Amino acid sequence: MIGRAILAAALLPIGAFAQLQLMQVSGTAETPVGAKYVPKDTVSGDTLDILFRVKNLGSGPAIVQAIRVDGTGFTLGGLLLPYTLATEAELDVHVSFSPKGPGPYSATFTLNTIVVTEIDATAVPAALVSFGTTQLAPGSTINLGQIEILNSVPATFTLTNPNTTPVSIGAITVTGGAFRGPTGISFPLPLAAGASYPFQITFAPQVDGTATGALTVDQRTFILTGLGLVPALPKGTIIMSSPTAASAQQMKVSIALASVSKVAGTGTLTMQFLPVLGLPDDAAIQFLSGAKRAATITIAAGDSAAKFGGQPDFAFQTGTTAGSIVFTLTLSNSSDQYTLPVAPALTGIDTATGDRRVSDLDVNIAGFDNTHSISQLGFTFYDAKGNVVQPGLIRVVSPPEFIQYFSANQAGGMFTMRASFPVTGDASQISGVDVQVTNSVGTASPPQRIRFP
Amino acid sequence: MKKRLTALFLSCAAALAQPAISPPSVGMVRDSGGSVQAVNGIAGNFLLADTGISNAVSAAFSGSAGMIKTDTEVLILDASYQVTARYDAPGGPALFAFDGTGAPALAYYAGTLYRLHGGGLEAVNWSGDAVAIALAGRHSAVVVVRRDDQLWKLRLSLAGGEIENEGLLAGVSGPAALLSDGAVVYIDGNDVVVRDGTGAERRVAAGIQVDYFERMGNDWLAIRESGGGRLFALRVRPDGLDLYQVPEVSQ
Repeated sequence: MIGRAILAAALLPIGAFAQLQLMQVSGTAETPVGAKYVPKDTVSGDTLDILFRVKNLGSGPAIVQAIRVDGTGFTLGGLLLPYTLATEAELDVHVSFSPKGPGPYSATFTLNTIVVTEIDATAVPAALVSFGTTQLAPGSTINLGQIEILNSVPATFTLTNPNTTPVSIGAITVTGGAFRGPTGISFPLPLAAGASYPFQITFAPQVDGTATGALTVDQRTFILTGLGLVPALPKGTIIMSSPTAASAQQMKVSIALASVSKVAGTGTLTMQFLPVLGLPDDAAIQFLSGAKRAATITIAAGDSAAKFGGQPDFAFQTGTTAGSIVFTLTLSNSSDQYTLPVAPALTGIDTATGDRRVSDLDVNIAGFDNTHSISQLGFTFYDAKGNVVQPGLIRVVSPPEFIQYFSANQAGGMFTMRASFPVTGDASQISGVDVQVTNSVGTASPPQRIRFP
Repeated sequence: MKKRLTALFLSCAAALAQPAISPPSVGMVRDSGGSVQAVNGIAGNFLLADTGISNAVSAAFSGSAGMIKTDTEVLILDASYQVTARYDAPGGPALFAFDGTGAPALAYYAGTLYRLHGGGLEAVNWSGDAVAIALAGRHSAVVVVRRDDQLWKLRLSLAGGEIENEGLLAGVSGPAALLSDGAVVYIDGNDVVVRDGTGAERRVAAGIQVDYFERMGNDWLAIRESGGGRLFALRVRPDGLDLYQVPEVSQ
């Protein structure tokens, strides 16, 4: 009966369904199927997926009423039938061949009521390959997971001989730059009936992204895949050279990493100045190289601290205006912020000198008022014996020059003041002067009496 | 006496109504690109301002005057960084020194020491490989000179160029500077060292290799890190020796 049907199929390849043709598909190649189809040898215990394709070559629609595959070891993939194929339309049909032991196998492929081909397959004895508890079919893909690049993870595979006779594994090879092995095995490897033998493959991606490779066991090839991940930069923490700051200081900032970095990366460190209410920005608050208020930091693999232009820290000035300097660190996957307060302070005196001219005494003071609020100056002159010269302390309240100066300049609170005193008497009697400078915080004086040379 | 002092301070009180306020000035420096920058500010708080002078290969400022060497000229500057005189000069760097009032006094370039005299540059009859120069009184100069691998400190007569005395600067090598009081500034290991005329030393940690020293203000010395690195400012005062970094930032 089968023989007659096959003969009919050979004469009229698709019989009453002359517009339908059966193809076998390998990759992208389609081959018309004749009266007999012989797939490649299959290892006993493996599963071979055979892909057929039914094509409608006629000028009108054709109906696929039924498809059957009859034969031990063969299974038809799921189909929803009947199925109407329009002109030039096609229908894919998967047939699985899973031989339980070595030897010849056959099955018939019936399309509607016509046996269109006979599948003659051969199962050969060989070892099966498993990954974990999953037996692998040739061509299948084994996903070894995802790990950070430059790390490695072993994967254990198992060779099993399900046959009643010994088999020998001639070679196992691994290809693909991210995969190494096999280890724990040597060849040829005899494997007794029913025996198993493990071996390892290592997934060690060097670059990020999906890695692919191949595991070949004698003539059977399995696809290896895995994902290499770029390790995240460790979290960075802003560290100040001193936890407290005052005006007119140069300090250093550094970036400590939570752990040794596995990768190289860059980030930015910015500084922002928030002056106390009512005061302007201060141009002197800046980093001391690069951009005024932004720095690029670099991290190399193996670093435990970020670098600024190759240096482990980065210098900046605190300026001469009270407020808060806010540092913001931005890395690819983390950030940090540090607020460095600069408190309002007494007027700072950097230099204080006295000059004696023919008919004048000059008092020169360079310093800063980080509140921009100098409201009173006081001068007490002394004679050569150290006695206060009457009338004693001379006060100047709300000197308008300071108000005008601080409102007009962009240099923060730093200033130099020269107060000239015309002398109508014997100026040589005056040996020195104490100066008091009062701002909103209090009154400051030079550490020593200013002497007139 | 009492009457005279009373008259004095009535005058003082009136004058205080008009104190002169301005941004403080430190001096000037030559930036890494050869532009001359005015340095405003106080210790630890500097702001640079371009003077408009470029192509400087050497520069020095006393606090009241400056001297600059370009590839073709020596420029004399006033306290406001304005050019008041210029002299033709061959290419190459120069060393400068000022007198006790801060006025330009000496220049050294192309192997020759010059003194500013009579409105011009007058060559001194001496030649050598000078590393640093300073004025020593009205008629003499002090020169740190390199002989083989050693530095010597000479005192020269400006009139005739004769060496009045000389001594080996033991332990000093590489870049050096002379302060107006004759003290030598040099690098020893990680430290900047100021050695006065008695041999007493003061040190401040720097941790840098030095390319050159240049005077940048009344009591300030500019120090350029080698390899075109950072610019530092050394403040030398009788009661202190402090090192700061000078900002060199892009806008």
